[in-house]
Amino acid sequence: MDDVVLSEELVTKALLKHLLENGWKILAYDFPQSGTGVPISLVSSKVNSFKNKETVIPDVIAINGNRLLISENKSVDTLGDYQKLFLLSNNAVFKKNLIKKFDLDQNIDFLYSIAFSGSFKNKDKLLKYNFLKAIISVNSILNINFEYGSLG
Amino acid sequence: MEFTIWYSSDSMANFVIDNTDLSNYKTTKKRLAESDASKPKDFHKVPDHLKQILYLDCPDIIVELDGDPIFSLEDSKEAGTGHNAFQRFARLAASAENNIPSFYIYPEAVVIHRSSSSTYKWDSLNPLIYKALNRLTDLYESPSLLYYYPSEYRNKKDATASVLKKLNNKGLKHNPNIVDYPGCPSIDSSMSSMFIAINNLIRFVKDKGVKDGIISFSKSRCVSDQRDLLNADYAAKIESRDYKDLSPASSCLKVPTQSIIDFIKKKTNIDVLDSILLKRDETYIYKIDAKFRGDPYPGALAALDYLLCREGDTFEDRKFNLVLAWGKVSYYNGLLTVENTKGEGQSINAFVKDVKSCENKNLLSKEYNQIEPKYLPRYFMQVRYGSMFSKSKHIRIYAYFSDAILFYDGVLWRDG
Repeated sequence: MDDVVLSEELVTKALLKHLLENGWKILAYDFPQSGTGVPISLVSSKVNSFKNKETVIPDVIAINGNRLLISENKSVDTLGDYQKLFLLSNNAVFKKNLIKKFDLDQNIDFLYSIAFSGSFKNKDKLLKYNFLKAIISVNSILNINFEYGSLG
Repeated sequence: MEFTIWYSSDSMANFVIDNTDLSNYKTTKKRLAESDASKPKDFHKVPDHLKQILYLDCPDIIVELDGDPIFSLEDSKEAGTGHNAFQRFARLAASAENNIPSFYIYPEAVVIHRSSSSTYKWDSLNPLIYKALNRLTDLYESPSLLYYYPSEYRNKKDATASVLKKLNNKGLKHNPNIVDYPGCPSIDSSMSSMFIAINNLIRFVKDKGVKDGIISFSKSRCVSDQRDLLNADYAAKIESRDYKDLSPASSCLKVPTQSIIDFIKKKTNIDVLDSILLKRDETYIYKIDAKFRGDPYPGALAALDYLLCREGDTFEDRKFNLVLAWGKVSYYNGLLTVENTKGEGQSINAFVKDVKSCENKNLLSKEYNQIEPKYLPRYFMQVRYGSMFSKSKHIRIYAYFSDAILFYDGVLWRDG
């Protein structure tokens, strides 16, 4: 892969194209200025509070059979995205609200991925973040490469 | 003959090129750096004539023909109630002030869920935006035109909350081709009208040159038709209400300018004897009883200039002064007061803090050997323009549009 840095928009476009070509259905997507993201609350609906800081907008939410993919995408490989996804993967309220929002099966499998352009900076942290299903890099002609795992 | 498409969103650039006659010409896409504040690595590389358009705020797209801007385009999917409708108004004003037509895509209404009452309803566009855009078009020979973002609003205007709850994307119709045009509108009659207008503009500037072509476009049928349509919608939506009763005009207070002069004297002990303020007998005060901050107020302030004050091309051509005040504003018996209701966040120190944080991004206080060689062109730009482009958007806009800014504990004003 080349080291060309793309915008988050182009990284997301490349991932959307790959997912659609591989049988995934896109439930929601977001990138800066898209205005299309779907906020998911991190607090229980019983709590009478719904402020922006208590919601998260995943960059991609996609479904394929009984698998639900949550992906965080950035211009460059950013450790913060790994930490954010790790926290979400352990947040039962987030998962519950996501299931409710899209009217999904209660037993759906949650998968997580990271996508970026440029170099794979956080390669040495793979062991710590092995909950991820895939780590994807996108090159200058919007081809994607699985640095780790896959999304078949 | 070559068109350059400066863009913030690659998908929107493709959407416009692929759906207009731009696709018949040689086009080059270039990514737009919004400001020196937000893109310090790239903004200094933006051509100087575009920097002037970007001074106030950055549109989603600027299209040039052989280096001359011919139009800008802005797209929003937000609910345009109250002040929010005007959040991006400064970037439309920046285009108009540079005699560049602008196309503004905004939803007529958006479905909003209110968790406090568990209801779903359409939040419709503040009709004052129609009037503000009309004022821009009247003042400059470059139309500022609104086109509705495609939505279910007209078909499901009276639908029940349970129906609205089930609508995707808050009732908006995004483009189904999410591989090529993610985040773009679908194509309906409104978008088709916009593409026809853009094609007309392209034809005029190609045949007559940019300046004369824009003037011809402003007089064209497609512009007057769109303005007629929006005027009819404005009349239907505002009904019998006075436009000054709608936000943000309803947040304004008209006072004798002398009360502003007295306020300055009280806060600073300075007698203002020779200021642009004194050229206008009356002043509109935009009252914001909130902590000092940016959105949505900068765009609303810009719109208020055109709605209430402006009668010429520049801010010097105002019938009334435009003053921004943070706090609870009262005027009684000739005495103007501003009370603090929000603590330190409403102090002039909050304003100064934001200005200082912008100043930290500047290179001008550095020694030559402290500046990375790749930033020397940025340093050189700042030598010419100072911090003009490196201040945050809200500071730039407040300083541009306000004749004075009042706080309970301080005041700033324009002398010339």
